[in-house]
Amino acid sequence: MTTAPETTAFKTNETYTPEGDYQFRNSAEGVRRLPFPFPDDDYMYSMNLEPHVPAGDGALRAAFDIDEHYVSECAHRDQMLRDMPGVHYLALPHMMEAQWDLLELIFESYARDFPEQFTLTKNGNEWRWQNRLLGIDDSFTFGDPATLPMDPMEYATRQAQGEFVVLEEKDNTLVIGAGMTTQRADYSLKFNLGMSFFEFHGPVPKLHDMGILDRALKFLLRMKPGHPVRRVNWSLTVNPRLETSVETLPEWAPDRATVDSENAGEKVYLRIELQPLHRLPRSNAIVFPVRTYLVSLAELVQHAPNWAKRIHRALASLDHELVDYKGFHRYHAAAVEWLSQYDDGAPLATGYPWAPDGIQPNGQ
Amino acid sequence: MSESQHGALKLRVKSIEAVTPEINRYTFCPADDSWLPPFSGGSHLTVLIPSEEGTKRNAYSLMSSPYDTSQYQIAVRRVDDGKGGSLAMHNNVREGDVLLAGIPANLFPVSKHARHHVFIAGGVGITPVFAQVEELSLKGSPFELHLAVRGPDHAALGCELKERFGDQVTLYGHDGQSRLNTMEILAGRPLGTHAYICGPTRMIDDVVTSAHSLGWSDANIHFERFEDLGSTGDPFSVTLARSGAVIEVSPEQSLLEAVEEAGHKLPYLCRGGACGECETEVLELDGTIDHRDDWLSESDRATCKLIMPCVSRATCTKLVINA
Amino acid sequence: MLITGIKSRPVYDELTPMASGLNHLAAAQGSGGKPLVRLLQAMTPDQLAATDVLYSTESFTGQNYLAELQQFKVRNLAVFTTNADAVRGLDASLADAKMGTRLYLSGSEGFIGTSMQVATSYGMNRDEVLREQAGSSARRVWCAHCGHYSENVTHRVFTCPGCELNLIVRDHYSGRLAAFQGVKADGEVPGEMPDNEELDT
Repeated sequence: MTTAPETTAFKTNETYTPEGDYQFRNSAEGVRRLPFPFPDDDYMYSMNLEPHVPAGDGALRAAFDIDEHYVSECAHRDQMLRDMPGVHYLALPHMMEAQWDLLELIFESYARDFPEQFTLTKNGNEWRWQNRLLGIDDSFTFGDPATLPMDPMEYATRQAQGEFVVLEEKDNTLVIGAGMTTQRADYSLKFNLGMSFFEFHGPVPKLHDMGILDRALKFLLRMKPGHPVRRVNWSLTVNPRLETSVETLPEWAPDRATVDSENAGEKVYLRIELQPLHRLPRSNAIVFPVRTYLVSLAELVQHAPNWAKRIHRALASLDHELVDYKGFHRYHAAAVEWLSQYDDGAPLATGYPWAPDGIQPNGQ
Repeated sequence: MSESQHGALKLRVKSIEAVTPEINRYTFCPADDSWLPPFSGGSHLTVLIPSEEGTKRNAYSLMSSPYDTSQYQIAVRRVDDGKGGSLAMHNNVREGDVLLAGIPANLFPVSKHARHHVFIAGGVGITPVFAQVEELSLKGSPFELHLAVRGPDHAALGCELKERFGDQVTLYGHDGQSRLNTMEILAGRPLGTHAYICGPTRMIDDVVTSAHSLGWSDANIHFERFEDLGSTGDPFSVTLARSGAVIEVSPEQSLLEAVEEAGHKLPYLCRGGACGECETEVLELDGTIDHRDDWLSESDRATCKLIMPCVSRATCTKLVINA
Repeated sequence: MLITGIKSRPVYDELTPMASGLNHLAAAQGSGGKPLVRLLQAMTPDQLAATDVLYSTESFTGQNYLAELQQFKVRNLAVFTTNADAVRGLDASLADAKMGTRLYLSGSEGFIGTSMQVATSYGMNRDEVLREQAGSSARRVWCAHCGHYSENVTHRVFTCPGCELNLIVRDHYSGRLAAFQGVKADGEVPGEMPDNEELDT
């Protein structure tokens, strides 16, 4: 069983908004534990699915990872939910079973992987949940929504890092049935709710042509409880802003025009998405969590020079359609130019950092 | 949770009960007195049954309440001319024994959008319905069950359901005369009705034909596909061209697992036939490849020049792969 | 660029009799009467006798096919003066309908979308419904910023009556909302507007 390192200092005063002046920093350890998503110098969009088993002592050690930003991220979620009710959390009525499934999965995982911070005590269906990081000690009846102050999924995911989309299986496809998405990247939960797998992937270029979607769907439909899988995905964003939904696009899109080759190191953040997918046992639904990590290009250079070189090469060779889709057309060149100062062209290891012989943040 | 390595469950046989002349009901509890993984109605449990001819892997529908994680129940019909798994369950397994099983998986879930559920079942096919109607009953979803049995001696499970759910259950054949008529059951149903067939192939064919003639579309007709979508099958052997090693692939393991067990390495990621990582060239083949992946195109499959070792198998006298 | 590469348009069918159905329900609006006439022409007398038609004479383009529709010997023809009434009529018909019913929808994207919402609420699946778009290429658009629904949007860029932002219509459709998505057109650089164009379908 794993525990968070004794040294993890959970920060409480970070912000992810312009109003809060973006008070966000990663520690050196925080950077080096990231699930860095570039195994090769050339980035190829792929499914890169692998069994979600513990790997290394970084972000892939636990079923659901928490890190030094846990407390501030939960506070940010609370603020977003209060600022825009009915926009960031939604669940269709028939998803109640899946909500309980998800609560159980998150709480069991946290309690098992981080026993110093979380405890789950079960006496039949009478459960007690202790979250020492947020100062929560609640008792409730599993399966009885009346014993919780809000929906089970909202209750659980308000205490979890990352966002959670629950997909129900229907007519041989997967349909979005619920979501807690205060960190979503340029889509609308309200708009996408009820969409099928192919409909909500509609915007991704190339996926249809490559047959990737068909294979991904078949694979996901065969997922079984107890055998989770994971993949990593990434994008770039400007400022350490977690909430970049379609709804608030007028607030954040202008930031894209503020990047130049001088300030790209501080302004541009790599947004890593770790997606550990699970089949849920009672509802037969699939949860698609997106655990988002933000790290500035300058932080990569400072704490993980090998990764800074790798991302330089991957961005420089990136397909233009993907640049457009990921939304950084306007500052792609500036980011590449800034990074080029720190890339000596030395050969780098291939493979994800958690794989044997994969690319490590620093050293040879 | 009661789990051994590789996600297998350790189950203690708590009780064995003969419910008809051919059917035993087994109640399992966790071997370590913890709890069992929850499941959904329609799920099956793959039980590893020790027998004289080695371990049999049989899948049985779970019939206990999906909301009770303290025990699992399955019913096993003795098949004298089968592959031996059910015979071993009947003859060898005793109360107190510990068996290994996989984590429950569901290939036969109830529709979450149905406005009405109609179950049509026969014989031992009734087992998944136990858990399905329990789930619907707890949710307050409307359902009815029509169950055909061979005679009074075979009606015990049906009578249990009748006792629990009353008028929602109709038995046929228990009195030696009434007959289940699928056209009558399916006619005039409101939009959004879903039908579930749990019985022998003949019954499935009969209900599907009736439903089609009444204008039902396939999305509303459900029956169990008890095909194993994993990577198990008949044994075969494979030669790794680079080392010359000859590796036997047993029925219970995939080609990839057998190669790894023999101390060799193949690339892999998803281990589910989807990602393409383990694609391997076939150099020689006397026989056919049983492609089970979602990766290779139809033309790739036809040429038999490529195989996905994580899920696919071969029926062959010789298979040499470029590894 | 905010919108390149996005493609998730609904895919429409062509109305033809679904022989597997025992009963047929056909609902159309305005120009949607034309595909409906074609559908009824293709039906056998038995199919016509098992068909109920709902027709709304409300039309964006002023097309009316009521006279043609009255020529067919269907079981029942119900006429409505507004699309909203026709959708309510459809709801009442589906409430009593049985398994084996086939539904045919034609008209504007907005009419088809709102009718599909009703059909879905009765558990109808895609195998039981055919949809054919007819007449105007106008779209129903949901504003991502204020939630306002704009009917009959004909141009790629328009001003949202709800929040007065200039919106660009993405080719991204939500069946649940029965609408396309509209987002701020000059999101990255205020005043830098994309080319406006007539929406194609």
